[in-house]
Formats: sequence, structure tokens, C-alpha cells
Amino acid sequence: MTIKVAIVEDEKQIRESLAILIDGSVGFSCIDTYESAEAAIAGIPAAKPDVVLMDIHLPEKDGITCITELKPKCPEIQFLMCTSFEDTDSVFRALKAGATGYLTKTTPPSKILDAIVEVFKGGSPMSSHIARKVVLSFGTENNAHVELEKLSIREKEILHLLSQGLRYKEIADKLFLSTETVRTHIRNIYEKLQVNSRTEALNKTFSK
Amino acid sequence: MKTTAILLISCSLLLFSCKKDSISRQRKSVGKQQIEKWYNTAKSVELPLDSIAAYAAKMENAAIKQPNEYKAMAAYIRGVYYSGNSTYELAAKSFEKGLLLLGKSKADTLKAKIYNALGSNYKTRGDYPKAFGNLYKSLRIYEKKHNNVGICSVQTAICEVYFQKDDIKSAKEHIDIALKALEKEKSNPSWLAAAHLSANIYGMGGDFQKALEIDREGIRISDSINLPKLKSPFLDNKANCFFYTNQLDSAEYYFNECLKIDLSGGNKKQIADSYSNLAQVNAVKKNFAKAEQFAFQSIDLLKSIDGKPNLGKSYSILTDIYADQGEFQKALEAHNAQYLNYKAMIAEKEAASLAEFQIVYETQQKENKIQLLRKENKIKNLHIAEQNARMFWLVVSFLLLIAGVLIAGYFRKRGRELKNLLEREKAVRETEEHERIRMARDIHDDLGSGLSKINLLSEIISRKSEHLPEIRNSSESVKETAKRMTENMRDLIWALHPENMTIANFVARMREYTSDYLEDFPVVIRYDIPETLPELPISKENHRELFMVVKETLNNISKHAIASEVFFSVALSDDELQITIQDNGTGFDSTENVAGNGLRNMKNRLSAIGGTFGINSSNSGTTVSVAIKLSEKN
Repeated sequence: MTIKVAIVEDEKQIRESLAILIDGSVGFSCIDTYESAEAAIAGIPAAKPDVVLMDIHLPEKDGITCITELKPKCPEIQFLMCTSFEDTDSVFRALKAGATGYLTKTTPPSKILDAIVEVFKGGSPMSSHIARKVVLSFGTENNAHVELEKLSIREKEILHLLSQGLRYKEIADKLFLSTETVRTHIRNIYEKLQVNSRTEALNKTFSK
Repeated sequence: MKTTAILLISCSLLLFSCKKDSISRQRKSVGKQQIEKWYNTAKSVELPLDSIAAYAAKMENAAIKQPNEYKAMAAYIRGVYYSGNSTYELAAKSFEKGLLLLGKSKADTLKAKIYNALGSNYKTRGDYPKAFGNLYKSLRIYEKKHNNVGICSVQTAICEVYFQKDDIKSAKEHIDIALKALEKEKSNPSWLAAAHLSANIYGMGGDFQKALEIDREGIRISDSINLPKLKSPFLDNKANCFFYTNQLDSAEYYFNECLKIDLSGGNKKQIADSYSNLAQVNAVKKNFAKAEQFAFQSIDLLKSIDGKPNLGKSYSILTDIYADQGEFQKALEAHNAQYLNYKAMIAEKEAASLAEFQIVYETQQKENKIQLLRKENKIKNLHIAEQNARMFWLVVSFLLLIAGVLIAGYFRKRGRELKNLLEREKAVRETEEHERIRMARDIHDDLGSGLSKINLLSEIISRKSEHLPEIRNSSESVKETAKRMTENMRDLIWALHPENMTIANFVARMREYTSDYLEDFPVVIRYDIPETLPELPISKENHRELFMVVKETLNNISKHAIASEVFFSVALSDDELQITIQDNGTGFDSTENVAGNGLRNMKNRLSAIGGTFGINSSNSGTTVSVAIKLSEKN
């Protein structure tokens, strides 16, 4: 089963090299590439890729705005953010906006393909830094008006272990779960994160 | 009686204070003279770097009690040292410090000199706008003072910038101005330097006639002032002109003349250069035995002074010599030696630029702290003075009510102004901090996309050259280097964010790193880490050293150990954090050179930060343990 991938990246050489890499690998096909957020917003809903590799830094609108606009239109598409180094602030904002995972631009190419597969299968890679930021984000309950989606006990456990640096398999072993279940829980945590950020945004607009 | 006594006493007191005054005045002028003497020696003669550093340190010490002009002289010499050491960032900082100290002083010639040096510094780093900016500032001062030597020197530097930018036309224009400025003083070293550059420019452009003409004049003048050392660059230029027009016997003759002068001068790098030139000429003339001999003389000298950049050239000449004779085995060996030298140079450059980055950042932090402390002290002192004055005036205002109220009001206003000033300074500093972070972010983004290009493109090259093992090896090597540079950058960036530096965060990162590193190896990793770790801060040095030890140990395990199990444990007590990594591999002989050096290094670095390092190895496994002390500062 071939995974259809689209690339949104403003640097020509990186964009073309990624396209060659993905197209030239068995099981993947690069169906389209876009140079800017505007082009992506116009083209992606029609092209319907399975996974989109999106650079955070784009010329006019940035990658995060792009996801915010595209995700409601195409909820089944998985967005993988590309950052320069683990710039945790940008990654966190991207995750809140609707991305399902992230890659650093300097990841070895074989791991890029692995990440695309994982995200396609329903996984959401998370590092210990991000886990810490997520914990903090759910920790601040300073909004009395609106019900913020809280984490279940299971999800809190998993997040805690993640922030200590354990990998998925280790967490699965420790909590007597399957790795798949852990992956699903993490996916849920991401989605709650996105809901929270949307609610906060709404709240800010209304409480003015 | 009484009055005479008083008169006598007051007279002698007066005389004594006068004498004391003149003694202290004399001492001051001796100090100033000394600094000026050191300055003149350090700037004019070609000294070895260590001497220049020593002069700079002496001047800095002596200048502490002297006016700013002398501190600026010390800063200039310090900058010259850093330039000689190739740490150009630090050199620029010293020069800029010197300019700041001179401010609006009238020491124009010194200012012009520093602008000139700063301009050349920016040229070396490729920042042409800043280079021109500073050079023109220097030129304006020299022109105002009709200082022809200065004008010649700056115009030469401006020519060098155009030359580096490949703008030959502008380069020629400016060197001609430089030469004209001192045409009545051709025996001045600045004119000779300009002439040599001019000969270079014409020679590189193929106009050998003109180049040789200039060389002839340069040699004539150097002979007339009896300074054979100044002849050498012209002889070298002549030799090159002959070499490129295939007049090999003349080329050999002039390179030999150069060698004679270099041997008497004793500068090993120049001697090695001359040897390698002679090797090249003889190779082209097919005198292979002689060529080989010269090449080896050059290589041996360069090895003794660790001259890596020039070693590459010498090895390359040797390779060609063997290849031309058909001795391909030896040619390959020489080529390998060149490649190894190149790799070592890159590694050094990496470490140096990383270290420089680190030093610049740390120096910046320290400077900020010192400035802040000074400001705080100033405010504190003003406060105390203020309080005393108020007490005094309160007593007086008891008798002069209106005057007392007015004056108390005045002091309160001053206090407010000081507070505003402090807040304004704080705001300035915050903006500077933001600017710095923004710049760092820009550099960081640029590096990131550069490195990712390298990664992707080299992967594509690797795939396309599966049947060309030579190319594949080179591209794998490029990938490895890019990967290592990425890791280093990531560590540096991570370390620049203070919120990352807690013990809990650090251990989590170590755990992730270890799992990641050993992911593709057939080892089972067991972790023994306490459930809760404190969010206490950990210092940058501790963090770096511990990380290095973990990296190095994992490296050894993956490359040498052949282990099936790795045990990673963390122990925390009141005053110590300990990390232990144990494997069940084949162990190693601790006298083995490769592992031995790395380990000795680790031991030293850890004891330097007050930590401990221990390693135990047998053929049933190796245990590495490292511990750091936890104080309130960590």
C-alpha cells in the first residue's frame, strides 16, 4: 500500500531532494510539492495526500498558520512538522494547531521515512521535552468559565513516564499495555491539546 | 614662639606634600613611558605569538591605573595577538573595546590604527560592508593628518578587500593610490608591502611583464636599504612568474635565493614553503630524486610546527611526484596522508570554532554580570552618601526651615532620576538580549537548513553511486561529519536555554539519548533511575562533562565492547549525583592507546570541575561511573 506524501518547503534544493528521496523509496509516492503556505492551502484539499511534510518557516504565512487553516478542511490528513533543531516552542505550537508529529530537518533520511509510516499508522512521536511542555500546558487551569478537556489518569501516567525519557516500548512494558495502546493514548493526548488550544482561543475572543 | 613653631611645621608639611606630589607624578610618567615602550616594540617587530600575548598582558596590568588611552593601546596589542592566533571574533572584540576606550579622545593615530586593524579583521571574516566602513574611517583620519604611511597602509588593505572579492579593477586602482602616497619614501616597509601586493595582482592576472618590473624595483630598494628579509616576497613573486611562464631554471634559481634568505631568518613555516616550492619546480623538471628530497624536508619541518594547512599542499606535491614516476602505491600513501591531515584540520577547526563560540558567549555573560554589579555598587554608594547628607540637612533645617525643605525635595528628585536611569538601562539590556537571541535564532535557522541540505544531497549521492565505492565512501564521510556537527549544534543550542538545565530534565535527556543511540544494536538496556528527581538546576559545565562521558562510553560500547546487556543507573544523594554505565562485553586493556587517551582526558576534566571518574574493566565487562558534587549553585 503506497503512502501518498505532499511536501511544503520553500527552499528549492531541500524540497527537490526530499521529493526524490520519497519518490525513490518503495511504498511511498510524492504526489505534489508546494513552495508556500498559500499554495498548499489552495492545492492540498484537492490533491488529498495521506501525509504532509510541512516546514515551519515559510515565506508569507508560516507552517503553523497553514495547519490551522487546513486541518478543519481535511481532518484525515496527517501533518508532520519539520523544524531546524528541536525548537520546542515552535513544535509545541504546531502540535496545538493540529500537527500529528515532528521531524528535525537534520534527521537521517531513513528515519524520515520511518516517521512518515508511523504517523500514517496512527502514531504520534513525542520526546521528553514536548512531554514536559504538555504537562505544563494541562497544569495551568486558570480558566473557570470553560471546561478544559482534562487528561485521564492513564494519560497522565503515560505523559509522566514520557517526560522522564522512557520510550514507547518501555512505557508499554511498565504499564502492562501494548505499544499500540500507548500510541493511541498519545494520539488522544495530542487531540485534547488541540481542543484546549482552540477553546483557549475562543475564550480569549469572547471574554474580551 | 608658638607662631614660629606653627610656621615651621606648616612649611615643612607643605614641602613634604610637594615632594610627595612630584614623586607620584614621576612614578606615573614612568608607568606611561613603560606602556608606550611595550606598545612600540609589540607593534613594529615580527614577534612570536607568545611574546605578543605576554606584552599584551603586561600592558593590560600596567594600564589599570592609567587613563583610557593606555588601556586602548593594551587592547590593540591584545587584538593583534588574537588575530595572529586566528581567533578573529575575539580580536574584533578587543579592537572594538579599544575604540570604545578612546571615545572622543584626541589619540587620532591610535584610533586610525585600530580602525585599520578592525577593517582587515572584517575582511578576513568576509563581512565586506563592515570592512570598508572601518577602513574608510581610518583613511579619513590619516588623510586629515597628512600621514602618508597610514594612507598607504589603509589603501593597501582596501585593495586586499577588492582583491578578495575578485574585483581586480578596483583593486588595481587602490593599490596605485597606495603606491603613489609613498612614492617619495619607497624604502618604507609599507610601500614595499604595497608593491608586493601589486606584483601579486599583476602576476595573478597574467601580466608577468609588469609583475617582474615591480619585483625588480622592490628588490633594488630592499638591497639599497640593506634589509634582505624584505627582498624575499619579491624574489618569491619573481620565481612564481618564471614558473608560470615555464622558465623553470630561472624559477629554481629565484626559489633558491628565497630559501637562502628564509634559512637565515629562521621562520620554519617560510623555510618549509620554500622547500615545497623547490620540490614543485624539480618535479616539473623531472628531477624526481631532488624533488622528493625537498618535499620530505618540507613535510618534516611542517610536522615539527604542526602546520596543517601547508602540510596538505606538501603532501599533494609528493603525491604528484610519485604519480608522475608511475609509483602508484607510494602516491596512494601520500594521498592518504594528505586526507588524514585534512580530517584532523577539520576536527580542530570544529572544536576551535565551537570553543570560540562558547568563549564569546561566556565572556559576554561575564561582562554583563560585571557591568550589573558595578552599577549596583554605584547606586549603593550614592544611596549611603544621600542618607548622610539628609541627616546633616535635617539638623540644619531645624534652624533654616524653608531652605531645608527645598533641599530635601531636591534629593528626592535625584533619587527618582536615578531609578529611571536604572530602569532605562535594564530595558536597553533586555533589548540587547532579545537582539542577541534573534541573531542566534537566525544563525541557528541558517545552519539548520544548510545541514539538512548536506544530509539529503549526500544521501542522494550515496544512492546514485552504489557501484562507485570511492565516491560512496566520501559521501558517507560527509554525512558522518554533518551528523556530528548537527549533534554539537543541538547540544550548544540546548545548553543556551537555562530552563533545560535541571537535574530531572538532564537525566530524562540522557535516558532518551542512550535508548536512541543503542536502538539498532542487539543490546538489552536496563535502567535504574529514581522515580522522582529534583528540579534543581545543574550548571553548564557539569552538564557538558557528564554528557561527554555518557557519549564517550556509549561510543566505546558500540564500537569495541560486543556486549549484550547494558545497565544504566542514576543515584542521587544529598551532595552527589552519580551515573553508572555497565556492560557485559569483552572489556578492554586500559593501556590500549585509543581508549586510554580518551579516558585520561575524562578523568582530568572531571577532577577540574570537582567531580570523580572511575572505570573498571575485565573480560566479563566494563563499568564506567562518574559523579559530580551538588552545591547550592550546582
